[in-house]
Amino acid sequence: MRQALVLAGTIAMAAPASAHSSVPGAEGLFLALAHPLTEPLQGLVAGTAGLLAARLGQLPAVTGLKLLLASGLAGLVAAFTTGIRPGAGLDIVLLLAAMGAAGWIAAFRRPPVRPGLGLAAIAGLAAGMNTIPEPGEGFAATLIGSYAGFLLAIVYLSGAGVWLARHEARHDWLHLVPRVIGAWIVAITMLVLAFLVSAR
Amino acid sequence: MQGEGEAVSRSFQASRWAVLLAVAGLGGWLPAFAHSTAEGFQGGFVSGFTHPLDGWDHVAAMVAVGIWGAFLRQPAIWVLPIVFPVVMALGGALGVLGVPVPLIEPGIAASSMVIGLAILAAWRAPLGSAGLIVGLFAVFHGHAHGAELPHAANPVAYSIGFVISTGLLHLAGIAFGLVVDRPGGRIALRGAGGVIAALGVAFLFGLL
Repeated sequence: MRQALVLAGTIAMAAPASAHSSVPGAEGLFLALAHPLTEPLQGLVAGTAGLLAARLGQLPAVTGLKLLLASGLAGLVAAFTTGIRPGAGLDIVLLLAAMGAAGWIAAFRRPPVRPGLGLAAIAGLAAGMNTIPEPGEGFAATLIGSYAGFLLAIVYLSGAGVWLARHEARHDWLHLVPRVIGAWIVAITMLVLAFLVSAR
Repeated sequence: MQGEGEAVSRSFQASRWAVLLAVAGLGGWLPAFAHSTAEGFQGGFVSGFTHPLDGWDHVAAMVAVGIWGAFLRQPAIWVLPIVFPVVMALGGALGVLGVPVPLIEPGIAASSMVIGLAILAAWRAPLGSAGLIVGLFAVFHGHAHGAELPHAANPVAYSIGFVISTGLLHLAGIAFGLVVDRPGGRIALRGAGGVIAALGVAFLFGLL
């Protein structure tokens, strides 16, 4: 968590400088880092993954984050090698993974770890494959930025979730917060899936 | 034992503040979005957020779910507001996909009437029955919203706004329902249940 804070601090300090940078690609990187905030689907998946990692407990959360990173990189490699590009099919996989993970969070006060890690791996793989930007100038910066932003969002949200979990001993009702949010995410993903299916 | 009681009391107090803060947040948040367009993330979010607030029949029923949950206490206080949005989204999905569900409008009006009557009668329904009733009515509400969803809006943003708005309406009901332990709180809640039931009758017969 401390390393993540240092990293975020560095990015926050660098941000104003790069906002008007003349270095090609810096704008792309800056914008891409904020991708989870500007792209609702990526934000939704990052939020769910962070919440799930936190609910699994601190040690499994670290394993889950490593798994997410590894499966995300595998997804990137798979997208490059197979030529699969972001689209409705990957969106549906991401939404189903988010729905499963959110349902897992809502259903259990202490969610079983292994299925949770499995969901994290599926989400990471689909997110990695879905991160490939349009070809053109700043391709690398956009790719690295959006993927880093996605992972940072997950790290911070899982950190917030772990912090919340630590306070559950004193305030029992706190365990309801992630479970209610989990139920809301299930509802959101269900509606978005219906939108995607009806638009086809 | 006394320490445990104090801890529960402190926890309850804290939850009350959390609910009130969430409801206050809802009030403070809305004006910032008041002038957005229906395009992009912000427009989609605003469109979704304001949709459940458009009809009094929806608002009354969703607040009633929160009040009934608080009235039934643990675990209904959180189970009902979890069941409602999930089943409502299922109904919404049916609406988006064009799957017909009969008696939508009477079902919506009946939801205020039935849940209002349950609060008025102080019916301590078993959790399963309460969940079933709330879930059944949630399908009607969800379908009505789903059938009206604007396809131009950003679907993810729209859905996020829609579900958060519904959840905050439940929280408003829960916040009000927490007066149940205050002197005269039960009477106030049962009175509110009576008002909601009366509104339901008015909705059912097209008087409002």
